[in-house]
Amino acid sequence: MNAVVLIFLIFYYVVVVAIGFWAVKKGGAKDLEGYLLGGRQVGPLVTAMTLQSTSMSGYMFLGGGSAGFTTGYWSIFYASGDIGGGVVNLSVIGRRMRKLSKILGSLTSIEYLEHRYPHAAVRLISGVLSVFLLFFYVLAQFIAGGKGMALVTGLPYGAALAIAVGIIMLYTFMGGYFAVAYTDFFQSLVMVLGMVWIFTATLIEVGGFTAVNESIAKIDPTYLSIWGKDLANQYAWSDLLGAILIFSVGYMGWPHVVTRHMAMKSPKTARMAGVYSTIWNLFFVTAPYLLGIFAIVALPNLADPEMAIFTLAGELLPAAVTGIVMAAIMAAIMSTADSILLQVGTIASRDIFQRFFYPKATDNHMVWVSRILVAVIGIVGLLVALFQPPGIFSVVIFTTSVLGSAFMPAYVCAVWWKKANTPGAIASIVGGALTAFLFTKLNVPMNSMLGGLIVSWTLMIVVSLATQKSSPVADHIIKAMNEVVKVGPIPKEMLAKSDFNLAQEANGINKKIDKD
Amino acid sequence: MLNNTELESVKTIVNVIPFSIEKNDAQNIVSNYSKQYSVQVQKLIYYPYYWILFEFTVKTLFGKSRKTKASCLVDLINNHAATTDKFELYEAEVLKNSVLEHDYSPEEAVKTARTYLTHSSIHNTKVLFAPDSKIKKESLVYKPFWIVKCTNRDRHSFKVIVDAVTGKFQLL
Repeated sequence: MNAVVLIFLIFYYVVVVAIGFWAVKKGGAKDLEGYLLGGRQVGPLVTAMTLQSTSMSGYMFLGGGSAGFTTGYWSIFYASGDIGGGVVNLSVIGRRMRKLSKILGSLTSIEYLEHRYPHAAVRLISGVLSVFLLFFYVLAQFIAGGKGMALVTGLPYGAALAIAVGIIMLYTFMGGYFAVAYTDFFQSLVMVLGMVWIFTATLIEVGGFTAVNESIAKIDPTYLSIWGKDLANQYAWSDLLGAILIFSVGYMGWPHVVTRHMAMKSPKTARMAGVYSTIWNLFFVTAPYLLGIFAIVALPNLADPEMAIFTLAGELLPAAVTGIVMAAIMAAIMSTADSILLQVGTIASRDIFQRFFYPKATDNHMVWVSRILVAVIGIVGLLVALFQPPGIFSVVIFTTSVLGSAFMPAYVCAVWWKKANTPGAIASIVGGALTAFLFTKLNVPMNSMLGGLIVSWTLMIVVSLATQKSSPVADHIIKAMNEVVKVGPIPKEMLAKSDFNLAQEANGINKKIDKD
Repeated sequence: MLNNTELESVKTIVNVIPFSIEKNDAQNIVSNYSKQYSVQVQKLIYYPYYWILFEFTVKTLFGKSRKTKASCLVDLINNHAATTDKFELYEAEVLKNSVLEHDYSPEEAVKTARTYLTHSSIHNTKVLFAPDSKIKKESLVYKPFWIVKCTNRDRHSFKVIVDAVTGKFQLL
């Protein structure tokens, strides 16, 4: 990589810091007050863009490109699930979870699970599982950052990794001081620009879709098959279903994704967020996989498939633009990594440390626990990424499979099934996670996500029904669920226009007055 | 009919958030969305909150501190916190039986508000810091809600609360 790329990348970081500084110093302070303290948000476009920038990670640029390059059009199955994943997630649990978590007074997604399925074991198992698995997702971001930095700077992978992890950690500890509402928006704009540029340039280079497909057919026609290169997945229906499920329903098990439902301003926000997500995903989810497929033709001698998009940028774009694309990739990595690290810090401090070890912990204690844990994750992650770096694609698929299998039934049934009780939830979380983990480790000839979901759903239903008498769902939870889904002869307009921000007061008034 | 002394014994003075939605307004709001129903405003109730005005000190990148204020309301029946816009309070004499009793103490409310604000500020600003906060003002306050009953020809009925400050409503 030449110096111009590096200069543009450094220039990018300078702009990020400058925007943050300007926002705090000048006009941003007033708006930031509301943003800082919750309850209010910046505009819907900025909100949508920042949400999407968090979900767009290093996986998209490295893992997605690698999957396209190595398997061909089969990889689009992963993208197809992801395109509708946001809407499915919002539709199935989004609005109801927003209401129920408000009524139950839950601040974190793990706390919400304990409030819905009241038992300390629910919080302990969920907290430990989430911290453990999110570590792997952060690890994937570290590796992506290290590889990108090595390409840009020409430094050895080890040194580049240390710099990338250092930047990610610094961003996590300092992010808020940069007036995050504005810097996130800027980062997401850079991501859009970078992705559009590299996609357009590559498409022109390979001569359009028809030409690239003809060229791929000459190299190996099985790349064009829906079963993947060498027809490796022919009639492997469980793998096909698993590939679609992984990002369509797998997201429902992500603590940092479901937490967003709890922070939504209103059902209207949920609907609009669904529309924005789908528009965004139509392009951005498929683009990295397609770029990987284009790279089969454009980069026939590529040694590391995960470098497909980085290398395309280096080969096809002017140095200054490559710098912007590199910045976009680093933006994706940083905005995801810091969100997950903060989520891990919150789960560890509030859901594990305060809840089980030191109930009298002050906010300051908990912040320190978070800081220490984030630092430990940084060091351990750096060592693992240095000495035994796993493939980004496989790490993300593994993490999503286990989290999705563990938590999806628990989150879905929390709002949809009144008979879902604590023993059912514990059995489902433990059984789902163990199954997905063992299927992956033992190479069981069935997709781990599919296997995990079958086990976790079965356990949730069977155990809940079998233990209804010994562990009935508490009355206050049933009442809260009824509050979420109003029943009876109520006009549709009335239901549609009700302000669910008042659900908590309605619940309180119901406690105090005789309804008749 | 109660005499003045009896009336005094059933009344109390509380801090109320000013409201502009009167009985007729509440009836009209609900009627607009339940055309086939007979709408009857039953009563005005006062919901208890603990209001705390915090002063926050937020550090910036270059070490400067910036002070900002946060107004927080804690629902004293559910012990849930939320930030709120600024408002003025006034003292009102209201019927005792229209004031809902609170289940949580001011101390518990302050703790809940601090936890909520710390959590919000960490996750919204995406940075690991505990904001330095001081209480500038605090008070037990009440927000008025109208309780409205809707009944149709088949005598099916449901109830709605109307926020007398904002005019927004929710089913009971």
